[in-house]
Amino acid sequence: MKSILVVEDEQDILFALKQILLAQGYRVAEAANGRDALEWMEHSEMPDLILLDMKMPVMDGWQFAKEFRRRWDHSCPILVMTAAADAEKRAQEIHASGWIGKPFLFSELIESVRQQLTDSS
Amino acid sequence: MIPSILIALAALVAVLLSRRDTRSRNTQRELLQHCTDRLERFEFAVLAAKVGIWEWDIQRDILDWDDRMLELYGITRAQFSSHVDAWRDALHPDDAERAVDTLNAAIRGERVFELSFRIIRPDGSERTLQANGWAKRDALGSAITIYGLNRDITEFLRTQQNLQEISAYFEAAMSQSQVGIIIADAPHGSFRFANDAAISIAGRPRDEIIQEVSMEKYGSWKIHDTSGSTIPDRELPLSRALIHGETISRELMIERGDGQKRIVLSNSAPIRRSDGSIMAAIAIFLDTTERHRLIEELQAARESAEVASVAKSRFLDIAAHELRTPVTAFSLLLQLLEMQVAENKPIDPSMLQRLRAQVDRLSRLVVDLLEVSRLDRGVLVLKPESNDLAELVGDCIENFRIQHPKRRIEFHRPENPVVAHADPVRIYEVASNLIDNAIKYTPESSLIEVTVDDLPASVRISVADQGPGISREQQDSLFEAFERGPGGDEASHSGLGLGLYISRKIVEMHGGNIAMESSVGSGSRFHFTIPKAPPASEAA
Repeated sequence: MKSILVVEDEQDILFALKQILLAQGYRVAEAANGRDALEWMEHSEMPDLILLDMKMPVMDGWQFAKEFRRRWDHSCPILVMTAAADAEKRAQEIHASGWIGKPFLFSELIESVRQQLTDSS
Repeated sequence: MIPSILIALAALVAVLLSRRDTRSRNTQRELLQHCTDRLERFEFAVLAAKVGIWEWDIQRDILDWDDRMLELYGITRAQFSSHVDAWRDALHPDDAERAVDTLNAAIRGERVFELSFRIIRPDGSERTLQANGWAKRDALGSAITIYGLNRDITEFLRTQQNLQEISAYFEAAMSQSQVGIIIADAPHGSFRFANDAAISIAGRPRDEIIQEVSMEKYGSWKIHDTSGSTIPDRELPLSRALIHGETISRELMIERGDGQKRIVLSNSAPIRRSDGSIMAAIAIFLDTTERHRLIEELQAARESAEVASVAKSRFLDIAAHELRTPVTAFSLLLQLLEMQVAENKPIDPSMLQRLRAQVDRLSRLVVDLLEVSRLDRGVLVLKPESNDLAELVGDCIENFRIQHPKRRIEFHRPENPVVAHADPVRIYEVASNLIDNAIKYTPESSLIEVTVDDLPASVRISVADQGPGISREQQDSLFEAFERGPGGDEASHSGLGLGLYISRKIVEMHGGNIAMESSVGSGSRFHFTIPKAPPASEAA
């Protein structure tokens, strides 16, 4: 069973994502910001995919991605979810393996998640 | 060619000398040589001066002209009658009477005469001649012979007229010019000329400027460089042009008589004689004060437009994020709900609550945006009425206490109603914005104090918190559109940063003021006043 870490500050979005990913048969871990996500990483196994929001309080997506790559230097794919107008540029900045612009449909998200997991395995 | 009359004269002198002088032949030869030399020199001078020589034997009416005279009158020796008629006939009809009168006056008594007149040559060309004459008289005083010269002054007069015209053109151009022009004579720098523009730029009376000025007095013009330092007299561009022959173009600042400072672009250059020596110097200067002011204004306008443009695009970024986030949440929750419905599962009431909250959030954002748009376009209309503002603020606080039961919000108000003429919906909005900010930007444990003060002519409403405070730099732009408090940019708090801008506009529309005091580490206090009486325009 593939595991996914969802990093998102917006409670309702996190809630919905968790529901839908669980329903798709993934294991889901959640973090409300970059710092929580790093803390979670300290005590957990490397997830198969990270779903990452960019604009978050405490520690945003850029800082998290930078720190994550530095500490673990892992090839774990990161799928960026962003409401920014220049989503693709932002995803490239942190060497994300893909991006999905907010708002999105579940079908789009699931397709992207599958794609990322297939590419990385 | 040497005129025969002069050769004859030389011969005569030689003969006289040989008869009367008893000195040795050598000395006589030397004297003869001396006279011949003198005559030759005289002859060459006459040739060089292009002067014609004439002699008129009055009694016999024999007129003798040399070759140069014939040339001047445009006739050959064969055409020359050897009588005074030859001269009279050549005179221009308009000048004939005056010329003949002058000649007659010389015959009658005036020993020396001088006149100028025009002649018409046989080929029809007109020349102007200047004539000088000297009458030789007999023992009784009657003139027997008149000797004289003719000189062609046609070209001289034409050149003189041209010069006068050119000088008139230049003077007209220089005096009408908006450019200041000053000409100073070398070596002392006394002013020869200053046009009206120069006087007006200097802003001093003409007399004060022109009167016996020398380089050492240039200081009275109070000329500085653009940074305001005085330039020594001898270092001024005009002085340097006079002293060193330098051509200088630079900006200067002139302090006028009235103390007003003008910036001028000045060009100074020497005026040289044909041998290269400096005759004078000219300074030309243009008042560029206005141009400088316009450029500065344009720069300021461009800078503020750039600042506004940066603020707007940052706002668009924030707006994009702030709008997309609730839309995303709403869309995802709705998709979950649709799935539940499709699977015939019972609808989770908490899902509906979440949806409602997201819609509320969206509508608040949209309302804010619309309100800013209406405020900026000036189409927001107040609906003022008499209100007890203390009661209004009390209601607002109650509402926050319900939403944020953990927050401590203290309310201080006078016992009696505090009535002002104001739009209750808008005042509620301003109070609500300030309290909302205090809640958003301070830790949960910190106290918020709301105070209503009954001032003589106005009502003051203050919201004080014990939060982190706001730095001086951030305070400056706080009440502008699209600004958010510290931490706002990191999206730790949602919102478009329009609250304080909207609040300021509303308060100002009421004729009141909004302000804040804060220092980092000791909290912030926002307060606004609303006049009790309606603005004069509304009361009328």
